[in-house]
Amino acid sequence: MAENYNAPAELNKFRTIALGVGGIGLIVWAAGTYFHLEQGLRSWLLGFIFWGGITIGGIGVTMLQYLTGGAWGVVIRRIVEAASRVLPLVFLMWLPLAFGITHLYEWTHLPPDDFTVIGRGAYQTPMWWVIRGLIYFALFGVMVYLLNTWSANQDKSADHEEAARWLGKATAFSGPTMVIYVLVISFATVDWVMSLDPHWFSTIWGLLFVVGWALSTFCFSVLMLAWLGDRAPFNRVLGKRHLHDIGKLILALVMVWAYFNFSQLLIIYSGNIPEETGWYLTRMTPGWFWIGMILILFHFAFPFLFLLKQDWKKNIRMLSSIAIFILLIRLVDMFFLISPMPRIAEHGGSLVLSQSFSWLDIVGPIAVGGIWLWYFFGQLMKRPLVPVMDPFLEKAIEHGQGH
Amino acid sequence: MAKDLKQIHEKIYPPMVEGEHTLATVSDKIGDVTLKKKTPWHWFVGFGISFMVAQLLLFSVVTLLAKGIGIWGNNQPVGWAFDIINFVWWIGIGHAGTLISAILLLLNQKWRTSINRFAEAMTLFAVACAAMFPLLHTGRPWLAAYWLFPYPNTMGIWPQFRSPLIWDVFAVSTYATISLLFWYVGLIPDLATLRDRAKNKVFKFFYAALSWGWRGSARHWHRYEIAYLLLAGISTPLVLSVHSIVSFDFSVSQVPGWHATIFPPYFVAGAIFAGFAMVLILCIPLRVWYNMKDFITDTHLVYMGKVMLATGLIVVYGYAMEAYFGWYSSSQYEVFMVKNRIWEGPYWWSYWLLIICNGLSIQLLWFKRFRESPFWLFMISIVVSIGMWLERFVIIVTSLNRDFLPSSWAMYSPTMFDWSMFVGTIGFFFTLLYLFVRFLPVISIFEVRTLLPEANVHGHQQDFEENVLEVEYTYERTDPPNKEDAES
Repeated sequence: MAENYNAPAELNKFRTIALGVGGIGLIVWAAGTYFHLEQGLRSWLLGFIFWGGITIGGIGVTMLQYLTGGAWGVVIRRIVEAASRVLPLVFLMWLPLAFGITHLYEWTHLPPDDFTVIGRGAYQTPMWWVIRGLIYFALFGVMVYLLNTWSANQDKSADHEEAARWLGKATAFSGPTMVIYVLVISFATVDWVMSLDPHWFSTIWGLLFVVGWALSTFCFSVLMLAWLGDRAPFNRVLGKRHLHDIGKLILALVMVWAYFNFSQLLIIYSGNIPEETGWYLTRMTPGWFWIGMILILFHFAFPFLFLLKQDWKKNIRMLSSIAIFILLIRLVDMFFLISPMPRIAEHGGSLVLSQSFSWLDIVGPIAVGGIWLWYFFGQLMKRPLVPVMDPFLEKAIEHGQGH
Repeated sequence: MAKDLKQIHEKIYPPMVEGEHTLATVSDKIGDVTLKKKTPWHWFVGFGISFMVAQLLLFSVVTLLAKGIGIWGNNQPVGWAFDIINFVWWIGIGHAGTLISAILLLLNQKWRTSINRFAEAMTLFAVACAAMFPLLHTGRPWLAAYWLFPYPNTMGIWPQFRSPLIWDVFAVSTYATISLLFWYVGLIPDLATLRDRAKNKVFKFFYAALSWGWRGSARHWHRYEIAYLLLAGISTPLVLSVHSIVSFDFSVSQVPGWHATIFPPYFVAGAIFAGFAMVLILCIPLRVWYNMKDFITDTHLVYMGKVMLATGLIVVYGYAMEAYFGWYSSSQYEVFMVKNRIWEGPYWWSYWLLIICNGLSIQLLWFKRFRESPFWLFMISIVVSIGMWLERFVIIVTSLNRDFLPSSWAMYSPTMFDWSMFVGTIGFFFTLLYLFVRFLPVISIFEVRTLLPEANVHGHQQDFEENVLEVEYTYERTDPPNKEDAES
């Protein structure tokens, strides 16, 4: 380990800022929630799904890069690993939802003769919702623990052969675990988000989150790369081809996001059956309709066209600009999924955009995000920024220097 | 240290060409199959059997045209059966070819080079088989021109543009056209190689006519590489769009078991799954019969096995989500569909066969022992091909035979003509493949050459992946090496 790949100490400054912003956000959020509990919890859920998604996406991207190999994976591995290690904090952030369950989910107030209450039985009870949540976090926890432990062991390896063994172990683990990971996300997002509207369902739901969260994670990683790439030691590592590769992945995910959403819309629109179509009818009322349009234009069309250009994918300024743009629009997408859902205060009715949007929807994600970032920076500083003993490290660095 | 690293790299990413090969031996080995070697006896046997089986198709089609589609077992309420099952099955198989040639090219996956040529041929032949079913199920294919295409006729009758069936017409015809172009453009340099090596005058003329005066100049290569990359870019969305539209045939309707939002990605994964199974079924014997193990290495088979596992798991995820949401929805129709499909309905056995074929069999691929054994890969691929056919049977027949009106429930059973037409297309498919193997280079000669150490522009004996990277640089280069040559 001749070279020192530790994170720059300047990150400490960001930690403090993040904690400050998060702390103030938390206080403001708590004050707002005191007066409007349902809205406060819903805004918290928005922040939780957005930022928790980067952590859960971090687990997925860590496994994906082991499975596919490739230089981009070596470069962003430590960033996504650090994001995945925020999991304990994400679990704590889930607790307000668990405690506030009867103030957040309309199904806790359904009459006993409602067909979902009869059909789902114990599955749709607060106790089982909480038990399932604990299982999801336990499974994610095992993934985070093992992947990060093995990665740390790889750093401590005496030689490349030992390091290759740890790499092999993580790769072998990632295959089957990816299956569990996708299943856990599918069930978890049904519980956390879809069940806000107890009468609606869509089989593609889980995949929307698998892809959306991976997209968030990649975009977040690009922002970290942009900052780290300007400074020692990461400026020796990051090359244009890495950015190009990650840019292509972001482009692909933007397209897949659009493909999944379009499929869902077309199928539900064409079927036009009352079980499903209400979900879109709400989102086609004035106000919500324009948010939908914004998503089509700015979650798909604009980033798609932008990322087609090769030079922009290779340019860190351009790539990080589009990454931050996509992250913001991801938040709008989550808002579009969560906010129009039926509300308890409205006896299961939805609100139009102007009534539905609350200042807490901004404070919630800021509060969650500040604390999340504070924890994330701490995790990022704990380990070298690249897997120093990885047998493919040199090759990955070389790859970046190409055209 | 550097040597250690090289060993580790080669262990994880083995070279894609085995044995001692030079540029010349590659051309010899692949080119000789069509030009020099005596056509082996097994070719005649295989071709003969396929050709005979293909006669079943001829027989069935003639009977169909004479008597109408009443010779099939389709009834009310099962109005769609073997015709669309076989259509979807064949069109799905084609997808592996497009994935290998287009997406893997864009992803810089070098292992595609030795399997893309015949995978693309497979795509074309599979699409040809697939396209027959929608045409023939009209009963009067000579009228299909204005039923299927928006042909401005004096009666002012237009297709229903809101129907996914008309989208299918556009999707499949685009797919066939682009696949053909892609395959043919990729063949041109090799056809020129065969032209230059052919001794027989007839063959020389045949290859010369097909290679369009290719001389291999820098300018030719420059244009070629741009055209090939562009075609790859155009083909890529087709991998997703064609089978998504096929899935819309079902999912935009309201039939429980068809109407599910997960259908597009789940069908696309199923298509690639079935396609890779077919590529394995074809290339495992091919590499033995024609002694091509140096080019289609065991590593290729392992990679294909992994793709099959991954896509198969997505398909199984689809089954799981259908069952879970069927229950979760608490809708009486959805719950009935799940029960009918899995245990209460008359076709419950087909569902469990499907789970065994597509769900359980591929679990063997988690283990190196099975993944690295050509025999097991071959067996699993056959089981998967059957499974993917069953999947469409389950979706179509079990959903239709118990529709909303219990009074109209009926069983479906295929007639002899349903079977003869299906088996006939299999014969037709293999007939075309045998002809392809005999007359065209089954593996891309010039692309396999780029995998050799000689292809490295610096000529160093470096390790494998560096060579590949160098080749990639030449591949990505858009300005020709000699600018004057290009401008003159």
